[in-house]
Amino acid sequence: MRGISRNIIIISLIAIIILAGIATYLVISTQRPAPVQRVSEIKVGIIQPLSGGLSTIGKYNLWGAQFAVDEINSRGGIKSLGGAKITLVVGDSAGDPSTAAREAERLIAVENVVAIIGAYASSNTKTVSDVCERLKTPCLNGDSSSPALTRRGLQWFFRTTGDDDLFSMQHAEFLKYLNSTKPGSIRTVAILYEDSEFGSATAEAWKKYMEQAGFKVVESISFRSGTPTLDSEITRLKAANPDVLLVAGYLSDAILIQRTMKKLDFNPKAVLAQDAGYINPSYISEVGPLGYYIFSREVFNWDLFDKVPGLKDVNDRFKAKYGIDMDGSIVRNYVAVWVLYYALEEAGKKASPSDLQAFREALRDALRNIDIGKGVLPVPWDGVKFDETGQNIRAKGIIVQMMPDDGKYHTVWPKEYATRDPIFPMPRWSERS
Amino acid sequence: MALSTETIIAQVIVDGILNGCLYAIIAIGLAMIWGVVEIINFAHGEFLMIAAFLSYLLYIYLGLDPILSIPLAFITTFALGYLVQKTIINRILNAPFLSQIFATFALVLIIRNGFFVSFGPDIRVITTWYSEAVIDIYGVRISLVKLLIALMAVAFTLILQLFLTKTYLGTAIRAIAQDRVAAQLMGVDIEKVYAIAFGLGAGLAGIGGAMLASFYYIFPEMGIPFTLIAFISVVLGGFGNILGPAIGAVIVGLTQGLGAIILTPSMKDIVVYLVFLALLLVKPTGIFSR
Repeated sequence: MRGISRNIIIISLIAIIILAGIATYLVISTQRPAPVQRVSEIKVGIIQPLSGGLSTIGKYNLWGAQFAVDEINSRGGIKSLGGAKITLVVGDSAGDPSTAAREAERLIAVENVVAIIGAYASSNTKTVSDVCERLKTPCLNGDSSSPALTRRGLQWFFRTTGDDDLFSMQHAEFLKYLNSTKPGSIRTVAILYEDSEFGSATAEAWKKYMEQAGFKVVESISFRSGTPTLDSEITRLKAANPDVLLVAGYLSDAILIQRTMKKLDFNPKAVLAQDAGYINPSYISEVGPLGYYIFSREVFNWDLFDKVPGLKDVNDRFKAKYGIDMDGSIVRNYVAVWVLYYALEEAGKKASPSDLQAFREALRDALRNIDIGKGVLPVPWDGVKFDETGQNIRAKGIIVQMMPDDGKYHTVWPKEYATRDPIFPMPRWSERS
Repeated sequence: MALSTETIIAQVIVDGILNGCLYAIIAIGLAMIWGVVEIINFAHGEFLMIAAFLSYLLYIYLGLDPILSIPLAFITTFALGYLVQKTIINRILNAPFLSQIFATFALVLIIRNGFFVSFGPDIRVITTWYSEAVIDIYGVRISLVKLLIALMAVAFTLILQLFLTKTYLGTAIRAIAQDRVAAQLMGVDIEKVYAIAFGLGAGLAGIGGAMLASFYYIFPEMGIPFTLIAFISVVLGGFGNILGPAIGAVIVGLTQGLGAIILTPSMKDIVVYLVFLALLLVKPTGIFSR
């Protein structure tokens, strides 16, 4: 017995010593002034899902960011810092929120990056931005759309892409535009949404913005994603007889909605979807004529290459290097790095990277004051300007419509990026061949 | 173009009954396994999914009509069920209840993830000339293929009933369901009958899957909602005879539809469970219990 209890005491002591050592190291490492950075290099952290189910997307996103870094460096780096080059330091979130947070800590405390870009999945971006907030490091997100991210009162978080709330607002604008082409044709809308975070947040925003725009919401119906039938739901919508149907659903729901609409001969003048299921490649390839004339929100579309200034040139060079066309996520990561670059130029005038924390603060202030106009970045936005929540208020989505001649989505709004005119109202099921 | 209330109610009732008939075939299969082999088969929806994929592959590679693939789907899933019973379930018949549950649950994970690896998470759709054909009766719109499937479901149920009452094997299955020991004493080869019963149960899920393939979407997790509905139907109707779960399934289909219309659609599953609980309070062993 005595031997055992003595062993326990010894083991406990060793454990305490180890823990104390770790604690001390952590305290020292976060308080110790960071080693003086040679100003020939500025380290920027990027977190993406590079393993696990999202690894393909994560890899592409990283390419997009790396491509921008190479462009910036080859054009002379950060001029206000004497031509310092940007180095990307990569963290792998594996698509998991807690891993993403650990990687953020490592990049900030060990790698001494000046800022972090990431982290694709909204759940991952949430934890990464929390760590950045705690360790006072700017966090720039280019590719997550949950409205909740910019509603947490964070001081160090910035998002360049639009969120689902902004996109819903633009839906209302788009409907007003459609209404102007055929005055008086849209008075009522109905909402059909899946009942998890994505659908509910979208539905809430829709209600708000549609009513503001003067459209009456005559029916709002939720369903559980993956439900085996939507017969009653669509029957109710048909009974409500709205001019426009707004839909937020995932992949399986999108197919079922279209099939049930046809079966029940439900004919709104337009169907407007909040991307998700409606832009999934597998939906686009399987839905066939059932999906014609449907409008969806997008951040990007294949036909933008000739419409957005500079995009085709960037894409051609990107494709030559990596062998694939850019998509919405790749472009948004490419753009995030460029936005950070403009902020770095400004921060370099006010602080020196040799005092890391002062430089991070200067970088945060530069992001707060950034003002990028239209046409500078190869995206269909009005530019970049952050509000007090860190949301880019100049971001924009586009509206695409699946056209009956080729079964592809074409950009129909905003006007300046449109490659086709919207087909409105869409033909009734009975009028289609 | 407003709909009259009568049309709405008629539409929902028709859809509810047609959906219920499809649920019935799947539920009878589950009841077969539950009532005869006395094992709770979580992998029921996986047999459905395998059959749907089989229909899809036959359609893509051989151009076979999904309706014509129903017998093939039945034979394939029957064989799979027979094998599962022979190789796995028969070994754990006397094992603790938890082991039995985990065995079928393991089967779920193996099959489902196997399909995820082979086919990916994408959905697949078969579009035939009749996938979207509709009969319009005074504004009530009836999907042709769902009507056909409902009629087939009724026919299969009758055939199964005849098989269970008129053949030696069917009688043996019923005998085992009633009293395992007595049937064994009468010389029934219990392991063989079990394998056939499990095969039948899986085969019925397979029929359901092949039926779904012609108008639903196909992907590795498609069995989940149908398994859940089948469980509720079986508990509702009891598994004393095959009519019980069938009626239970139609009740579920109708309740879903009417609940969505009378209350709100988001409540439709809740209504099903409330009806389910209410009926259980009245008849704890199911409506048509022995």
